[in-house]
Amino acid sequence: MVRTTAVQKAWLVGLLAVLMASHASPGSAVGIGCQPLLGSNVWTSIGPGGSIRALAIDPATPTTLYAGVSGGGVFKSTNGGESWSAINTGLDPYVEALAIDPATPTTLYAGTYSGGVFKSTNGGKHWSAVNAGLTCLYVLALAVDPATPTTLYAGTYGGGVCKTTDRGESWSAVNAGLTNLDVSALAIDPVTPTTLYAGTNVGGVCRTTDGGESWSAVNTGLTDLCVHALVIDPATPTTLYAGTYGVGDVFKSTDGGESWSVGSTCLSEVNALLIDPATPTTLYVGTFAGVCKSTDGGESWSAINTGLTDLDVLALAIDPATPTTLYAGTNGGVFKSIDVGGLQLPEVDVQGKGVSIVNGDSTPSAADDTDFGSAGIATGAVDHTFTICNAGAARLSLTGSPRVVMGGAHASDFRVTLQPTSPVASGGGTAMFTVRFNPSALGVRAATISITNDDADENPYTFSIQGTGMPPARGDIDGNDVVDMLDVRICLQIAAGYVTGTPEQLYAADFDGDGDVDLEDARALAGYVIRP
Amino acid sequence: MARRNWRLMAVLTGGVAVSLVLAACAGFWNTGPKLGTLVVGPVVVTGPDGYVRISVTDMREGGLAAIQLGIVGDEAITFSDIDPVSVAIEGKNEFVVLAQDFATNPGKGTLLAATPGTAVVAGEILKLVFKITGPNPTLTVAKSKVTLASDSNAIISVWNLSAKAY
Repeated sequence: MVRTTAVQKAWLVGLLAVLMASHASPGSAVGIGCQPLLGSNVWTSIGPGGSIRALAIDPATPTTLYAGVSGGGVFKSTNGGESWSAINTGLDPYVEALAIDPATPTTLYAGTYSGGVFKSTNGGKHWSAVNAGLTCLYVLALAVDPATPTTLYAGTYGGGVCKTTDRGESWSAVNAGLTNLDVSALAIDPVTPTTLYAGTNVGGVCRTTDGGESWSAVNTGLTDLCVHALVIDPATPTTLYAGTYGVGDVFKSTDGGESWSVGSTCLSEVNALLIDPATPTTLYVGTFAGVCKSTDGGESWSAINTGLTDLDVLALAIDPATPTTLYAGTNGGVFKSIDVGGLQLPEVDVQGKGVSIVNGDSTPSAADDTDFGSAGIATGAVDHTFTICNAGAARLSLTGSPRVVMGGAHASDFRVTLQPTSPVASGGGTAMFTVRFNPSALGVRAATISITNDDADENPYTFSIQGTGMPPARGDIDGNDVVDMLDVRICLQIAAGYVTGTPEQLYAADFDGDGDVDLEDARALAGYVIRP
Repeated sequence: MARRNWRLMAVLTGGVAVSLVLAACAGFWNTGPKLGTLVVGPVVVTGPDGYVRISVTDMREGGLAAIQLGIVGDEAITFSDIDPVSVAIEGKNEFVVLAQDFATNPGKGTLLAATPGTAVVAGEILKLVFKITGPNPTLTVAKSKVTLASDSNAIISVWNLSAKAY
């Protein structure tokens, strides 16, 4: 996935507090403190709470959206879900369905559990029941004719389909040929709005081509007749999808419902279906096991539930202007994901001192611990611990063996003393590794860290490290950072030829710095020890 | 009555025998490896001169390889009626005196000596020779300020200090 530049990194670090407060911008790949990235199918709860039965987005102003709550009425947000307010004046609180007049988005309709249909003409400020002629007041689905928004259909439980042509002032049942009167889903052909599909509780899918005057069942291949959700491909309206509740499948028809086939199954009973208006081969399904996504027209599905703390998904809505923004209504409130277009991918980041180290970084710095500073040759040791962060939506596998590998000119001067665990959990999971710098020679010592992983565009993750080898302290022959009697004995042993000593020991034992190690060094060192 | 005395004597004899057995057993259980000991001998006076021998016995971890008797300002050696300027130290068994100070602080002394070769398990390591300046010359060593090193250049942490003559 895309990385930030060094300039972006500095900016991000400098404005850490601001970023933490604002949850970072979409596409930001630096996991500050290893925060999960928004924009990788990560859901965020945005409220309101309660059992969300319906979601509707204003097509003209997509930052305005409505949530229908069972027992809670309707909540409205005008800022993309950042804040919500209840708009229930005159409304039955048990809302099951919502619809917006596409031509006049301030006109809303709410289908309720036992109060029929309610209408608002001022964006939800006031509601009034519009039930004249409605044969059943348990309204599970609403559909507005996109070409003639005065025409509205209501799917009811027990009363079949009712139709109004005057924005709800009067209704009439349009059930001729309808095989089951428990209608839980409606879908209107956007190109030929007189063609309408009804999903029924046990009768499968019924289709009308004359605006409801007559219906016929279209169930060939539809092996699960309990249909709770329907969507039509806006680009190819003969293609439609039916989400079923009996087994829990999504069926597809490419011939206007004449025949159906099922792709690979999703996880659970289908409550809601959604189609990406910009990329109709992308679909989303809301189930009791969360949200599944298909990018191949329903052939295959995968769960996208990171951050979705309530998996009872009852409603879905998509921003028509930014189809990567998705809303999910659950039994535990509303959730939002701002980049559901992204795939389920890991996102590797390596941090030192909490600062992101850009992949490929070749300029070691003390700020991110890639510069280990100074250490005495052969005797000094400096440990730095780094954090591997997975800010993505899929777990990150570190596939190397060992997982962190040293390379470069002075690789042997750096040793991984603690290897990271693998895999690294998604959504901000971390794994630590520690590198010990123990220089074998004087001067700058450089190496490269390489971490093989399954983040496709950052594999391997590499960066440079360095440290500076310094002479050991004179007199500290045993390299324990203390000059004492033990060093005197070693010095004496070297001076007397009993031991040879490494070059570093010889350097340290040459206490008077005259280029050799003799009894004078031992005496001088002993004098230093008794007169510290 | 005589028979009664005889029985009393038998009981007492048995008790003594049991006591002897128990004492022997106690001695047996107390028998263990001897602790390494640094022996600082007494001041031996011969006319105007005197000396002190320092030796070790049963020294562990390969023997004693180095010894430090405090530092200047926190000396391990305390002496009296001894001329500090006259103090000369002879190394024994390959021990080499590398540093010493008996003049900085009155009545106090320190030294550091080591052997480059084989450590000493038992035997004399140092002999301090000096002029005496009074009738009661003394030289004592504070164990807490003494550091001993083994043949492998590690600190010997468990040892005894003895002031008995070697």
